[in-house]
Parts: sequence; structure tokens; C-alpha cells
Amino acid sequence: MIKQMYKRWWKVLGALLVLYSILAGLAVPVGPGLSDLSPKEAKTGEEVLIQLRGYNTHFKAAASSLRIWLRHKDLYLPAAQVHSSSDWHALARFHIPANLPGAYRNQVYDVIVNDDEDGTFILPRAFSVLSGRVSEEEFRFPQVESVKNNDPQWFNFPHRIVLYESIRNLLFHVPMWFAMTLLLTFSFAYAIAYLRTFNPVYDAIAAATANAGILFGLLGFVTGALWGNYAWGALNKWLLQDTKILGALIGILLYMAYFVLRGALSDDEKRARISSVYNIFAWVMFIVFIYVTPRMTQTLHPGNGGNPAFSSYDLDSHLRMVFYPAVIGWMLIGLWISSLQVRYHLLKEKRYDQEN
Amino acid sequence: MLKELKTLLWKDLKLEWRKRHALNGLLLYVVLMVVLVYLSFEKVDFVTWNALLWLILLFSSINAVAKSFLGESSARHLYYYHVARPQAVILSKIIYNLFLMLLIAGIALGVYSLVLGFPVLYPLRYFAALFLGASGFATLFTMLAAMASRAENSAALMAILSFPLFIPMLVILLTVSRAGLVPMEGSVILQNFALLFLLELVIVGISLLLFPYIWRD
Repeated sequence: MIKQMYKRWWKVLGALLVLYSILAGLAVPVGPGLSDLSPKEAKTGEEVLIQLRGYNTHFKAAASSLRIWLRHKDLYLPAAQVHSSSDWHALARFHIPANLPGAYRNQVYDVIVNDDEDGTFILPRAFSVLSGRVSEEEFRFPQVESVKNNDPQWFNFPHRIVLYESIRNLLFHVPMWFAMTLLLTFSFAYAIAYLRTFNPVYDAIAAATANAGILFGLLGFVTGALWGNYAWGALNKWLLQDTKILGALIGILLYMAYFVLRGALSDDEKRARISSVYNIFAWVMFIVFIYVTPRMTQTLHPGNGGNPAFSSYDLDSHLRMVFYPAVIGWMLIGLWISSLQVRYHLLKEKRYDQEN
Repeated sequence: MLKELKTLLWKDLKLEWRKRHALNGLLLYVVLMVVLVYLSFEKVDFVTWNALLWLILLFSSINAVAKSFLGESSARHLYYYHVARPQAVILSKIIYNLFLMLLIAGIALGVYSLVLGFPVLYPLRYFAALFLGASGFATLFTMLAAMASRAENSAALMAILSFPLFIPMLVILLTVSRAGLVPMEGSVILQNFALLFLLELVIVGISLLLFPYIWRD
């Protein structure tokens, strides 16, 4: 391991992976979706002209294949006429039949859009059909036409309601957490190694990896707070109620206490010995906290207590193609940071030895 | 080993009895904390009642356990180092601190429920949680006191080292003690108790393994 510290290949790999994840994470567009429509309701027997606002859509470019439906359960009401004024704006004229059966009146309909460029996308529960004119004529369900493709024809990240563009944060926030856990585990392993061999280099490695672990914990905390502020609302409503966030906070506090302890001990050998023992305690309690307590308390955080995680957001695994490289890249960057600290420490020692 | 343990434990108990003023000071501290809490809250619901009791116990136990390695001079520690195994020393301290914590918890609960009421529905469960909590304090803080005693300004260091380590345990303790306050499924209670017990076993195990490294100087 110590020899690897002076090698260059894994640092280059880490830098490239992080660069790739930042570029791809910021440049890849979010998939097509509807952001708004007006009006939001109509009565049966009426004719209504709905203005749709798309996001990252190609209404104009794929105007010939653009089709729009209102859906409730098994009923698909096609638009009588569709017009696209630009790529992000479309107009759809619907005749809401007066003879709609009772079960389909006073209901909230989904709006579904399909075109050849963007595939199918949906704005759920967006349009209300109210009871207006009633006709006793028998209602015939319109035929559902087949469409050419259901998936967008361009590379994208999933478009998710509530998250929207902030879904990219997954590629920055989650790798911080992974890197932190890895670095703290390294620190733990080297604390054990120190107690077995009393080699001061191992203690320097344990301290440096814990230091980088704190850095990544803070970064994860900040990126998570930004995300939560956007998706869950004001910080003070959820900040310390979430076990994952609390886990990150405790990880940071534990290892800050570790550095306070190191500062309080002046003798080198004694400092290494006692702080290694504390490091082992800290890691065990940290692992207990992040694995055990999320099962005991309620949380909003994805991936706990029945909340959907990553896999449910990423049906076409486009996110994964950036996420895994990002995780490995940030881990390597963290190790690089700590290796620099270790090397600085070793050089200082060497110089001290030469001077004396 | 067992004989060493018994001798060391007896030594600690005798020492405490001869220096009764330290113990009295500790008990006074607990009572003062309860009075302070009463004056600032007057009436509390059962969730707050539970949380405040654990906080009182937390602060008094840090004070109580912190002095377990400071009371004796380093020369005397050197002497123990030669005549006893380190495992026996740490185990005797843990057991001694467990007695101390049980005493403190009992007195704190008594005074506390006298002034702020006793909203416990299932006393047996609550006492079991209190026992596990007291042993948790004893196991976790004994080792930290040993570490802190090796540094200067150890009283402040003791608090800094123990608070973050204690938070995970506090979360489990609050859940476990809730079993005494509200109706809860038997299997859930058993699971939580078992979890806390296992955690304490792990802490004692690590303490036994690592104490020799702290002790030798």
C-alpha cells in the first residue's frame, strides 16, 4: 500500500473518472417531460384548447408525429387537433364527450404525450374533467393507436417529478458518502495495523484518511442540504430528523473528536497509541449508527424505511453509467488527498531527523 | 483472573467508601440537576420526561466515570501494572462503574419521579431499559475515561470524546425505554433489548482487547 502511494496511475484514473462524472453529470440533459398546462379543467360536452409547456421536448421538430391523450384508468381520450408552436410549447384541442359514463366524470386525468423524438411521457393527475352537459347516448371507447417508440431517441437522465434537474446531484452527493465511508474504513484498518506493528507511518495514514473522510463528510452534508432544501423544503424542518444526515453529522463529530484527542496528547508514541484505540471505537459506533438506527427511526431519505432509492429512478441505467465511475473516482481522489498528507508528514519527519 | 478481579473491585469499593465526600458530591450533583430541570420545565409530557431523565443520567455518568482513572496517582497505576493483568483492571473498573451507575440511576429516578411524576406504564420494562442504559454508560465511558486520563485537561476531553460516541447509543436507548412508556409489540422490544445488549458486549470486548495499549506507559 505504501509503495502505491508514490505510483501515478491511480491518481490519473481518479482525476479522469471525476472529470468524466462532472462533465457528464452537468452536460447530459434531463429527459422530456411536461412542466405545466392550462387550463387545468373542463366540463363534459365542452371543447377545450389546452396549452402544454414541455421541458426538453421536441414538439416542433417531431410535429408530424406529436400525439396527446387524456387518460383515466382504461380510457384514452385523444386530442382532436394538435399544434406545436415551438419545441417546448404545444396546443391540443379536446372534445370532452357529453356521454362519458359516470365513472369517468369528476375525475382527475393524466396527460400523456408521444412523439417520435421524445417517446412517451406523462404528467400524472394534471387535468380534471368535471360534470357538465349530460347525454344518455351510448359511449364508445376510442381506439388506442399504436406509437412508434416509447423511449426518447437521445441520451438523457430520467425526468422525475419533484427532483427535475436536481437529479444530477445524485452523481455528486452519493459518491461523497461512499468516499467518506471508504476513507474512514481505511483509517480504522490502519489504526489496527498501527496497534499490531507500532509503525508510525500507519498512524500517519490513519490520521490522513480520517482527515479526508471528514472533508468528504462535510461535502456530502452540503450537497445533501442543497438537495433536501430543494426537494423537501426548508432545512430546519428535516435537518436532524433524518438518520442518514445524522449519521454523516456523527461521523464528522466523531472524527473531529479524534483530532481533538490527537491535539491533546503531546508525546508522539502515546498519541498514536491512544488515538488508534479511539479510532477503532469511533468506527464501530459509526457503523452501528449508519446500519442499525435507520431501521429504528423514520426517515425521508431515499433508500431507507421503504423510500425508493436509486434503482427506481434509473430505469434505463443512464445514471449508473456516470454514477459508478463517479464513486470510484471520488474514492481515488480521497485517497490521493490523504496520500499527499502522509507524504508531507514523512518529509517533515525526515527533515526533522536531518536537522537533529 | 477472577481473584485479581475480586481484589481490584474490593479495592475500588473500599477506596470509594473512604472518600465518601466524592460520592456525596456526585449524588448532590444528581439532585441539583433534577431540581434544575424541575425549575425550568415544571410540567412535562412523557416523551420529554424520558429524554430529560436520560440527559440527567448522561451528565452525571460522565462526571462519575471520568474520575475512575483520575482518583489514583500514576505511581499507583504503575504498581497495578506490575501486579495485575490489564484485562482485570479494566473489567474491575467497568463492574465498579456499573454499580456506581446503578446507584446514581436509582437515586436520580427516585428524586426525578418525586418532583416530575412517574408516567411509566410498564415499570418492569422501564427498569430493564434503565439497567441496560446504566451498563451502557459504564461500559462505554470507562474506556473513554482511561483514554482521557492519559492527556492533559482530561475533564473537558472526556466530554468531547464521549458525546459523539454516545449519540448512537442514546438513539437506541430512547427507543428501548419507550417500551416502558407506550404499548409496544413484544418481538420489537426483544429485538431492541437484544441489540443494545449486543452493542454493550461488543464494547466490553473491544475494551478488553484495546485497554492494554492505553495502559502501558
